[in-house]
Amino acid sequence: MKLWQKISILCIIVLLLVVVTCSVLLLLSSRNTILEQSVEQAQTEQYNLHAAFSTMVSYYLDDTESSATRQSVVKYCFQQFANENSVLINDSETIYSEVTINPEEWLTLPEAYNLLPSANNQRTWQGEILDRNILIIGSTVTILSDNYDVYVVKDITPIYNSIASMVWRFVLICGIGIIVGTLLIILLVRRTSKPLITLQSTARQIANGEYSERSDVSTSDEIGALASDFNTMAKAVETHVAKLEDTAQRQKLFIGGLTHEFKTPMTSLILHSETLLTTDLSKEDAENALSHINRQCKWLESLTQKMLRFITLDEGIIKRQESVVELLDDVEESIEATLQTRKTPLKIRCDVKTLEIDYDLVKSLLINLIDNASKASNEGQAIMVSAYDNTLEVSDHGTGIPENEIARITDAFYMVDRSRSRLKGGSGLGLALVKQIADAHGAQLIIESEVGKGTTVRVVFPPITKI
Amino acid sequence: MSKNRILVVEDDIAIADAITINLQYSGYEYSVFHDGQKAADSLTGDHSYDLALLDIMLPGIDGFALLEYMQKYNIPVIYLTAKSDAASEIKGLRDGAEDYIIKPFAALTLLVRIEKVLERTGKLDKILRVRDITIDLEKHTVTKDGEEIELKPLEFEVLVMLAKHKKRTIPREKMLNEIWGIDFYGGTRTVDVQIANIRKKLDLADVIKTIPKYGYRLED
Repeated sequence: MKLWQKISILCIIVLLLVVVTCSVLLLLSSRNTILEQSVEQAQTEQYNLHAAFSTMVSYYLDDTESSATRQSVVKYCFQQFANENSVLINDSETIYSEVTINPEEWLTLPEAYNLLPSANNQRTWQGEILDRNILIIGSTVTILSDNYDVYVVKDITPIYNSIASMVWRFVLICGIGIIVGTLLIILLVRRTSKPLITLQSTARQIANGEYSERSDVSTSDEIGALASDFNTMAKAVETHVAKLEDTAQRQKLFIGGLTHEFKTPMTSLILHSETLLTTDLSKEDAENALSHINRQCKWLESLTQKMLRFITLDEGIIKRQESVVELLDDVEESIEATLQTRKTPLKIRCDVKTLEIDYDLVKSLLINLIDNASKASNEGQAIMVSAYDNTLEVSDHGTGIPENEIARITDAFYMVDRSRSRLKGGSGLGLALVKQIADAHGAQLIIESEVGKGTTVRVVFPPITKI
Repeated sequence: MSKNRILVVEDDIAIADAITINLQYSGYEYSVFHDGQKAADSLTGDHSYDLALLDIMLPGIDGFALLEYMQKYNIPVIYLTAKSDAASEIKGLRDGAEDYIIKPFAALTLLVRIEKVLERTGKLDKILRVRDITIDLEKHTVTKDGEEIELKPLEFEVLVMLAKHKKRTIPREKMLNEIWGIDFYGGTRTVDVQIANIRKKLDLADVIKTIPKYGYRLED
């Protein structure tokens, strides 16, 4: 069951209990008050009747008169005060009565009556007679040793009827109240819990992969706080997922490029070795095939090395203050032999003492750049390496890079001139590696080039933070 | 009929060398280009090729664009490429290439595909000669010294396969695949039986060499 339903039902139950209990209590007390008042009223009426009658009768009557005269005097006196409810009885003989029932007759059946409390020697009964609710109040007046019973008999059925109609009105009002209350409760509870539903739908969307979804709940209660925390969480998830997706995408591209890069040397290895195996080649042709195989194997081996470097570079670098002169000497020593074969001399200028770098990585970066420069250069064209400010620069006067290709040359396995590059042993990983090393140092890689005039690559390290 | 001429356009020199050496030893004439533009330009002067082997990723003009030039001179095309995705294969064939070989591939596969295309386009020599033996591919006849020799169909196929690839060792499995079909479950001994029959009938005991554990080779 949903939360808003639970809360609504609880509220409705409480409302029902309170309303019903209060109504019942109120009804009971009203009913009692009304009944008490009518009983009291009847009792007062009887008392007044009794008092007036006894005073008048004792004034007019003396014991000299005959019994018949006495009877008529009593009747006369009673008539002076009687109304339609009054009854006078003397020894089971009704002297005066306007009422259809004889109280004496009914009063002998005690089970039909409730004896109600009363004062002034009054006797009060109440009960149902012939489907009517009847109230009877009586007292005895003794006149010259004769006992006269004075009664007031009241039909209180209308009072009961009005109580019943009051009950029905109450039930109606309570019913309407409960219905309106229930609707109000549902409306208000739903409104209060609406932010939760919004939050839930946002959570569902995020779970479905729409990581950029955010909750717009901004209430000032706990739900608002939850929504705000939820958004923080969603942002963290989005950032993380984007990072993972980016990594996965890069790895996919890398592996795609790698597979492609492997296919070409593999094809030539398969073809040449198969030819050697199955065909009776001349000595010269066989040597040619073997040298192809040898070259391709070496190339694959260097590709593997670079790949390993490329993959493991992400594992973090250690930066220290290193002497730039030492670094450049070291680089020159490493690449000298290659440059001599290609007849592309190296010129070095160093105006910086130290840089905060990972020595091995920056050495690899420079060797890659110089190697690229030398591949692009013709025999006799010099390659310049200079260090100034926070910058390492490698420039050549070689073939240059077309303007529209510059942005892509740092992509793994991208080569401007595939066949020429392959011819000189390019793998398509060199500049990608350079870019990655520069990134790891927080350095900027700036490539300026013009076709036919040469290329300048600058690696600008971030300024040293002074403590 | 003169030798078939084949145009090879492949930017990787090692692969191009491997292809041409196989073409040369299989008795084809060829021209090689490592650049699409240069290959296209050369066609204006000389376009008497029976077939073109085109790489797709090429400097200058790519393989797909080169196809138009080839069609202009009615040169059938086989693509050689590392692009193994189905999309480029469909594009290549829909545009009118004869076949499509995905790198890496075996030399014999390439040669067999070349023969099939040449056969389809009717540019393959219908007569093969091995010393004093003449094989007529159209009439399915073999004559030795002008005298016709009766060969069973399977023997004929094996002889043709060896004669088409002189000086090249043909693995037994390859023969089984090509002649008997992939579904054939008999052992490679079947091939040995056919070879023995051919040697006997045509007196080729010295010419068809057994290469131990590998296959057979027809020396010229």
